[in-house]
Order: sequence, then structure tokens, then C-alpha cells
Amino acid sequence: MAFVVAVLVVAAALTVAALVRPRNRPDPAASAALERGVPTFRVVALGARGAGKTLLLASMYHQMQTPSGRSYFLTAPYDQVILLNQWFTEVADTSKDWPSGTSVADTREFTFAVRTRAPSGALHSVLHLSYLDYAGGLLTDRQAPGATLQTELLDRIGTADALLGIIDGYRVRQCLDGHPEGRMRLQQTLTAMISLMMLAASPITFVLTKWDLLGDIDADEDGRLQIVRKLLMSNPGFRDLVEAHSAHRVVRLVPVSAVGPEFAEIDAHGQVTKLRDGHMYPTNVDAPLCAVVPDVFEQVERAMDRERLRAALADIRGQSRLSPAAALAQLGTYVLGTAGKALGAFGPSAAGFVGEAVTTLFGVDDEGDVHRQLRVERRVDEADRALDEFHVARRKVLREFQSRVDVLEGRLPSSRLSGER
Amino acid sequence: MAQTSPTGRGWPFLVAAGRRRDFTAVLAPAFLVTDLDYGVLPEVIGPATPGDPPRVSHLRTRHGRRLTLVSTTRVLAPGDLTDPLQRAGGVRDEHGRPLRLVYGFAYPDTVDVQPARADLDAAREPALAAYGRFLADEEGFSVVASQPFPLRSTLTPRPAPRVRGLDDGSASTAGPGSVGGRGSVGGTGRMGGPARAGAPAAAAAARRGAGGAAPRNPARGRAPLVLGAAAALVAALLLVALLTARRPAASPPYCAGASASGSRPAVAGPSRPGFTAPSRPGTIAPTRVAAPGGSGSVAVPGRVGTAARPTSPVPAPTSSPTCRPAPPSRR
Repeated sequence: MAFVVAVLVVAAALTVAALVRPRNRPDPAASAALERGVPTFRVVALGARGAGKTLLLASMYHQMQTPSGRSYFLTAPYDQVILLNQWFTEVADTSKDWPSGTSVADTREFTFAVRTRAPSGALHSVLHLSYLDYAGGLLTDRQAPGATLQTELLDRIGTADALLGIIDGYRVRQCLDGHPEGRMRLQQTLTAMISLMMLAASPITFVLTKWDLLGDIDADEDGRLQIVRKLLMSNPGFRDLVEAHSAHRVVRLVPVSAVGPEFAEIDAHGQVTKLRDGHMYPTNVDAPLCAVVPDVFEQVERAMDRERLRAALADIRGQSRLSPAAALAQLGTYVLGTAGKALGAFGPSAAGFVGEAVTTLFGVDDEGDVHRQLRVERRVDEADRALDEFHVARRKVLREFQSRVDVLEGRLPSSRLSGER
Repeated sequence: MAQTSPTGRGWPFLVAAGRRRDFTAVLAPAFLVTDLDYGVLPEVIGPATPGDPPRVSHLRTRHGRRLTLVSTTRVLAPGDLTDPLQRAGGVRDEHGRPLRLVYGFAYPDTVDVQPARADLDAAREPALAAYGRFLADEEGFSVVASQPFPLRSTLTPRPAPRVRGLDDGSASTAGPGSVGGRGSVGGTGRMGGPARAGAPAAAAAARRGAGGAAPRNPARGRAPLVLGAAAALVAALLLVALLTARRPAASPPYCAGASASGSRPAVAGPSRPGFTAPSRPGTIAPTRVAAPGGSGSVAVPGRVGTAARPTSPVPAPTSSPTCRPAPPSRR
């Protein structure tokens, strides 16, 4: 009888252990940890009402939601995808009006994941981008008593990882055409932008929207940009701002068109209207993000990896208080989700470090523990390989971002504002 | 409880953008204007798709005043402008976009509302009048204070909603969601904060969406199995404990010269009926010793504060209780 009971006890214990033990299949917790480790960059576009912030956002997502020759693409929560596609479709429909502007109450944040597929087929999120969409009047209009959103916006600008200064190409066009309203509005925009960006430590990039409306001021595209650049740099505040930021990094002026050159025109009344048979071919809408991300990433990557490594070590040390099975499961999770990524940045010696940590953790002095040590080390090696793949994929994406900017600068040398010639 | 409110009064309001200026409060209840507390209106009231059913929003102003707002969205038409000069200016903004007006009425408390079309119609007239003044001088314009009018909508008092943030103009919006229009998408929150407007369900869904799918706990699927196995383990352990308990805890030394028959040793061990009180957690079972005078055994306290309890009388052993008879020789 006692023997039967003993067998029952052992069987039950084994069942419990087997159920609790982590499986070989991908662990959702590890995946979640991996996602958690991906940094989110907060980008805020500063622009007046009607400058094209929302349309740039919709067009950028539309163009970047598929790789189209790139190694990366953007994804967003589905409700946001629906909204962005709806806006883009509304713009593209030439039988409809332009969409109404973003209202103050419509202020919202969009979150994008920059994703890439590794050679193994695994899909990685290499970084997240948040983009605040708001009513431009929050920047330029006086606020009513009891309003709070402007204060929140200023807080967001102060803590942003990167700032995009949106310059309305329509205002530039009006200005170049000698329209006083255009000059006044452009000045208003630049003044608001300058006061906020002068204080910012984060990278800044200027985006010239509605580039298609400036198509006839010069036959050569870089010649056009040079004219605009000259106009902007003639503003002392703008010039000082560019110089202040040029001390740390390159400042660019990226011309974009969310609709492309064959979609809209300025009519006889001076208003922008859709062409009846217009087609949308967005231009350079991916470039602003490409310009800011590598700069930001370089700044935060090292600190991020160092912090992750510290957290991983603390957690590994904490495992010694757990049972071996639970510790093994936790170790696997952390190596996959956190430590490995951090270790990847520290090169191949990182695997050796993890091995040592494992040895310390389990105290493999007895011959009976050797098998367990081997199993743990094998698991760590697998995790490290996967994380190496992740790092390679991330580097590739960042190189492509940089390359995109280099190509733009090669084609439009005037897009580089730093170092006024 | 529900009442058609002949005495309830509503205050018209209008939130709109001009040809140049962005969305702002153009017309606001007089009590909010007097208290300089109307800035929350454009932050909460956004345009919906024209033609949608009216929206009902509840909010608390920066000064802590609770409001119920019923609003509808209208695209400005030339006929809405009575002034020929204003009409000549067109019904689009300077970027060629249609002008949308969000107007309606405010009720100075938190109530459920079945909006009557007539009330919105009544609010439209002062709203359009104020908008005309706004368009005439957008830069120099100051908000117009509205006067109350009797409501025909059905108002049902309800407990104040739990609104986040007492003084931040927080709001909740009931009624049709804004998906499908340029209205707010509930959910991702604004500027990283909680969502202020939009259907709460959509907000919750979007919050889940913003961070990806809600994490599924893999342990949950295995929980019944783990619990079952654990229960089996516990049952087996109990069985072992029970079987172990049936055996004498320790064998007393054999009595010299005593035979296996005719002796009745005292039993030390847990809970045999009629012998000792069962031990309780945190106590040590009383130790049984031979009673003085050979009349049986009594319980004495254990180490941890257990009071000695009287026990049922034990039949007197016929031999010493501290030893047991040696088993008969097998030879």
C-alpha cells in the first residue's frame, strides 16, 4: 500500500513539475519582455493650423505600412490604422473637400512600431514611435480661461525625443508671391517654433510641407529648395535657431508633399484645390522620420542597453532565492527578453558572462549538476543567437534610415541647413 | 424618475473654427463666461460626422462644475450666414477646408438626456448669430455669453460619474462613437493621458490596441491541470500521513518476562477516539503518561501553551504501560 502511495506521490509531483516547466515553444512572456525592451521615441511636430501635420502623418503611414523596397515597415494599433486610412482616402477622393482640420478635442497620440523581418523569418519591432496629432491653434492661438491642453502640449514638447518643425509650403508660396498674409503667417509660425525649439535639447528637423505647391518657382528641385532656404534663413530668429542646434548635430530642411505633384493646385482665389483628375504620389514623406530616428537612437541606445544589463543582473541574482525550476524559467525569460539584448551590445564575451552567472546561480559543484548546467547554457546560447539576429536586424534598419537621409541630401544638398554657405 | 423638464433650462454653446483661427469656444453659457471657466468646452467638444445623432457628454470644468452637454455637428452652409459680407467670405477656411460648427446646449449638472430635436434647433439660432460675429473679427473676438432657454429634452438625474481629475476638465462622452468621422478616436488618450472623449468601450479597446493585444497569460490555460495535479499530490500526502499515523509512533521497550498476551500498553499517538483531544494547529498534543496509582493515563500540557485537558478514562493496563511484551519467539 505504502509503495502505491509513494508511486502516486511521485507521479503527481512529476505532473506538476512538467506542467509548470517552461515549454520549448516561444514563451509569450519572453516575447512580451522583448517588446517591452523596445524603446519608444516621442516625436512632436510643431506647426500652425493647416500646415499639414495630420495629412503628413496619414501619408507617411500609408507609404510606410509596407516595406516597398525597404527592410522595415510601420504598424499601428488597428483603430488608428482605420483612422489613418480613412483620412488618406478622404484626401485622395477628388470629388470631396479637403478634410476639416484637427479640432482641439481631437488631440491624440498615434503609436507606430517600426518592424522588420529577420532572415530566420522572425518579425522584430526595432523601435516604437509616438506622434502627437493636435490642433495647430494650440501653438499659436491664445487659449480660453480654464483650458489646459496647451500646457500639456508644452510639457510634451519639452520631453519629446525629437521635434519636427512643420513649415507650411503654402505660406512660403504666399510669401514668395508677395502676399502679406503669407508673410505674417509664416512669421507667426516661425516665432512660435523658435521659442520652443531654442530650449529643446532633442534633435530638430524642419519639414517643408506642400512642396508640390512650389513646383514652379524654379525648374531645378534643389534650386527651389535653395530659394526657400534663403527665405527662411533671412529670418534672424530662424537662423539663430539653426546655428544653436548645428553645434550638436546636423539640422535639415526636408521638403515633403503628402499628395505629390499631380494632385492639387492654387486656384484663382488663392486657395488650394484638388485637381479633378489628380493622383496622389506622396513625396519624401518617410524622410522626416528617417532624419530624426538615427540621431535619437544613437543617444539612447547605450544608456538603454546599460540599464537593461543592470536590471538583468539584478534579476539573475534574485533567482537564487527561487527553486531551480522556477529560476531556470525566469532566467530563460530574462535572457530572452532583457539581458540578452543588453549583452548583445557588449559583444561575444557576453555569452561567457551569462555562463558565469548561471554557474554562480546554480552552484554547479556537484557532478549531478553538470547536466543541468549544460541545459541552461544551451538555452542561453539559443537566446543569445536570437538576440544577435535582433541586433543585426535593428542595425540594418537604422542604416537604411541613415541611407535614406544621405540619398536625400545627395539629391538636395540645400536640405542641409547646418553650416550656412 | 425620468421627467420631461418644463423647468429645466439649457444654455446654448458653440465650438467652431474660423477661417483663420482654430477651434475655440464662440458661444458659452453665461455662468461659465462669468466665472472664466469655459476653456474646457473646445477641449472636450469635437466635431462628429454631420447627420449623426446628437452626442451627450459629461464633464467637469476646471472649477469643478459638472455639466451635461448635448451637441451636434453642422457644416457651415452659405445660408447660415445672414450678413452678405460674411457670406461673400465663403464657407471654407483659408486652407480651403469646410467649416464645421459644433453646437448644442449645456445643462448645469450630470444627467442622462434623451435630447429633443427642438432643443438643438433652439440652440442653433444663437450659435449661428455668435458665429457671424466671430467671422467678422476672429482676432479680436471674445466669447459670447448665452442665455438659458427651457428644455424639452428628457432629463434623468443620475449619480455623478466618476470622472478622473477634479480640475482638469475631464469628460466622458456617451452616444454615438466618433469612428467614421473626424471625431476623436477614443483610446490612445491625449498627450499620453487618459482618453477624455469618445465611447468608453472604444477607449478601452484602443488602450488594449495601443500596447498591442492584451497579453494572454499562458498559465491560465494550464491552471486546471496544475490544480488537479496539485490536489492529487495533496491527497496522496494526506493518505501517507494517515497511514503513518495508524502505526505506533515509537515502540516501547520490551518488558522483561512479559508475554504478548495479557498486556495493554498505553497508546501514545494522535486522536484515537475516546483517548485524547485532537491537537490543534500551533499546539503540541498532550503527552500521555501513566496515571498515578496505575489508574490509567492523563494528559499533560505540551510545550506550546496547551492547557491540560481531561481525557476519557483509560482502562487500567494489566501490566506496566511503559513496556510491551516481547513477541513470542519464532523458534
